[in-house]
Amino acid sequence: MDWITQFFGRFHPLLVHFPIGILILAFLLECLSRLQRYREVSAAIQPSLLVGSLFAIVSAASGYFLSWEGGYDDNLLEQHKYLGIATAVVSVVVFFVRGKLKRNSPTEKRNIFNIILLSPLIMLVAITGHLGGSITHGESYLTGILSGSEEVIEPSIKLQGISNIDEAIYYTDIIQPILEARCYSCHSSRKQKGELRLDGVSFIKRGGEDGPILVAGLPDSSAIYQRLLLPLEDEKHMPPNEKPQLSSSEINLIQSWIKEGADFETKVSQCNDQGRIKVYFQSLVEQSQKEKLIPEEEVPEADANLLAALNRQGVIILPVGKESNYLSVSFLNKRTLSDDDLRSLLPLRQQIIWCDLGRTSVSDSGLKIVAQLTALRQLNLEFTSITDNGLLALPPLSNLQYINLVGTRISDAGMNHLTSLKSLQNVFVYQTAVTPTGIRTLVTQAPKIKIDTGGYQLPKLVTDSVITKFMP
Amino acid sequence: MAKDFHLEALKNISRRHFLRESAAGIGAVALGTFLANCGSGDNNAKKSIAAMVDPMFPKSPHFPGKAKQVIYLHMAGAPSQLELFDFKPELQKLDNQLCPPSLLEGKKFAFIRGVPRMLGPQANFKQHGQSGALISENLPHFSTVADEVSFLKGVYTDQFNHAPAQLFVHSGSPRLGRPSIGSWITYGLGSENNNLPGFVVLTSGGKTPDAGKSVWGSGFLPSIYQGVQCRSEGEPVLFLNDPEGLDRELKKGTIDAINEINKLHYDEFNDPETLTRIAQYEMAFRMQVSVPEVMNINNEPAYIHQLYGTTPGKASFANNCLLARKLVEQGVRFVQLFDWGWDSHGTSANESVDYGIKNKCRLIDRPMTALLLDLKQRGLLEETLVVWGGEFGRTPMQENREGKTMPFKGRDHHVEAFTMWMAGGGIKKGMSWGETDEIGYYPINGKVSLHDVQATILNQVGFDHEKLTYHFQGRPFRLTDVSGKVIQEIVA
Repeated sequence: MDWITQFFGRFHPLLVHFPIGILILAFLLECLSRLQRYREVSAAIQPSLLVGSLFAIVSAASGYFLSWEGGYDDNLLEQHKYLGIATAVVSVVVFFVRGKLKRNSPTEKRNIFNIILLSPLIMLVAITGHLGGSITHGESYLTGILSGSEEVIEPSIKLQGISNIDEAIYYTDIIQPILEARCYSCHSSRKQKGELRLDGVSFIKRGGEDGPILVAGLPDSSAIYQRLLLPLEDEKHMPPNEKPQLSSSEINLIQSWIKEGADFETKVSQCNDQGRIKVYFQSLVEQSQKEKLIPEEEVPEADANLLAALNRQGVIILPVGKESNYLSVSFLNKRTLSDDDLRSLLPLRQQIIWCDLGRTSVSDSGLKIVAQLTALRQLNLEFTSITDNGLLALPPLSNLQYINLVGTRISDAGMNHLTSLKSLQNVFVYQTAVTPTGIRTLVTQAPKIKIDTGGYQLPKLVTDSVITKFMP
Repeated sequence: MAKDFHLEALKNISRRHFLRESAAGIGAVALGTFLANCGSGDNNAKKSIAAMVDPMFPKSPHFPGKAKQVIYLHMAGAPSQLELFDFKPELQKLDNQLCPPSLLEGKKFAFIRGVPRMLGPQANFKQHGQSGALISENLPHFSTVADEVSFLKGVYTDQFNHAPAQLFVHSGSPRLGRPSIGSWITYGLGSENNNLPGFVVLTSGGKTPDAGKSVWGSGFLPSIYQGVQCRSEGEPVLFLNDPEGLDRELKKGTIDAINEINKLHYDEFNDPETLTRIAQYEMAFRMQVSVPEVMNINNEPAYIHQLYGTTPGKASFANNCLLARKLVEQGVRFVQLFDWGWDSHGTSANESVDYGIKNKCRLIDRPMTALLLDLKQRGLLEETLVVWGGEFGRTPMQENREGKTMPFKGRDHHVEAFTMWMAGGGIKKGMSWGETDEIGYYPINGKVSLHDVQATILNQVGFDHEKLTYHFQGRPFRLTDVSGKVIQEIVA
């Protein structure tokens, strides 16, 4: 490409503002001249149209040259190009038609006709201008603010949607979600730090201010990978220190994608080292399956007066986190409690997920009330006087995952009552009458339950009592 | 006389006070209505003044945390990672060879001068558990629970002296004046148990940490949040007993009267330290009963003593481990254990990596393993974060203090790399993160700072370390200063 045309092309972003401003001014003057007071401004309209259309031609030409450089969204560019040329043509046409009309029709009628004549031109200017803006700033530049949706979807969650990893397209299905979550905030339509955009194949191929960022097959020579590996304190490290970082599996996936040729259409099944890719993929997906501490469903906020009243009675009841409506409740400071105390929790049955009744005077009849707190996930009953009969009431607790029965009078019979708790995972029965038989019953009926019977001892080792002395 | 007193009091009211009071007055009106509401509808429970202004009232963390309590085991003096967890067979090959200059250039050591010799590992290592963790023969019991633990093998610091390094570990800054982790956590969460402090400190090894009580201090936070040191030998808390002839009724009356006056003082000056004082009086009164109870290990069954290797009545790390379990069971948020005696320079047999460290290991091996197992069998390990570490590591070179060969094998303070471990409280099991080079000098991957460790501890309790802040001297302060990143790799 000739450097003169390229140089001229680079003036496009500057030049475009003239036709936009001047043509819109011409339209505004046209409207204004309808008013008696501003009649004389009509003299300025025709010269404005002349200058505006000349600039429109120059802008369209420079834009055409700039488009040769490539690196833009092809679809948007195409539309912008044709509409830009159309704007230039129409502005010239409008200039001549308006000049002809001026001489031979009555003022009032002419004025209305002129406004109608200029309207399509103004629309063209607006649409072309918007498209041009979308090319440089991105399509979501305006709408993004309105919807406020700059929320990042974690790649680990997005990748979970891939049902058949073999059929997945390495770039589109795996790499792009990573770039989107970790890089787009600075390298996309939103911002172009270092003149780099990563939100389009052509942009990635073009690179940034330091040149290309990808060397197919050679991750170690590709800036997009190198930057990830620099020490966090290094100012060239990406993403910057204060931004969310890539996990090691995410980095590994990018490395392997470049190694496989950095192609944008290859399927995972076409890669040489599928095994490795699948391992990284798996470990990334597993990250999203970290155990959720609290239920994902939203619940209404608990009645603050009720919480305050309970707190005054010595019950520790508070949200599990500042932004959560779920509650934890503990009777640590109110160990002598009545069934009525437990009943006062019932209005909060939707919210209470952790309930600590350890070392309290809770009885079997109290458990019947506790069993109505159906959102419960964790229930501590250690060192209470509850018995097997008390556990009979628990089956409604379908969300219960953890139950602590340490130091209670529970026996094998009680284990049977736990089998119908379908979410149960952890049972603690240290210092109870539960025997291996009881555990076997529970484990055979509900294999995913882990039971800790405790009673750990450490062997006596010879070294336990040997004092290492220096013998000169 | 009364007039003089009144004038004296008036002198205390400056223009500044006036401006402040006018602003605070509006708040006070609002607070008044709020408190009035609090009292209504509840006749029998007349709230004490302390409860109304209780800075220890339980609070929610930023987000639900997996850990509800933390037990921090600090091996003061800094144990050698090379004799415990970081196995370096290559270092054995270099044993007794002169240290290459590349490792010494631009480095400063606490005691090493000139060119020291390399020192191979002074213990045998074996792989343990399904995770295959490499642990030395110095910790035979702990090896059996390797699969419960996440190791951090690339921790680094920038302080090579004990006191500043210990301050850095616990307060995020090597200089005095910052609150310790336990203070930050009790500041953020309050205290669960009404009758016990939220933050308890226990020491063993015959010496308190070099950095003094500042490692459990509250810095610029209200002093109610500082750690309460309890003794495992003799009276757990000194000066807590009533003098003869003073019964609890009279004591209660006295404290109520003092608090009444303190409350008046607080209303006038709004100094949070007055609140601390009120809460402390109340707490001390309740602690007179509760502390001797929780600090008494005599009633523990024989098999528990056997498990921990405890001997009641003696100050030992074993006793402290058992106490730590008892304390977290009673809802104490943060229990900090310091065990002194890990400074293996090689100056004497006791302070060496070939003799002394074995004895120190024997004294912690069973108790800390027992602690993990005991927490586990009580269903507490999942909600109790246990952290183990020193204030820095030890050099792969043998110490040559003043350029001379030491009488015993020892290592100098090493800031570049050392090992810590965490267990329970939502930490991955059987994980090892980070790796050092062939001789254990630098981390080659998984390098983490102490701020990262602190960020991780706060994360497990439910705090965003960047948001747990306190406004002081014109800017918000936080434990991790301006850095720190949660070590996601070890978070389950």
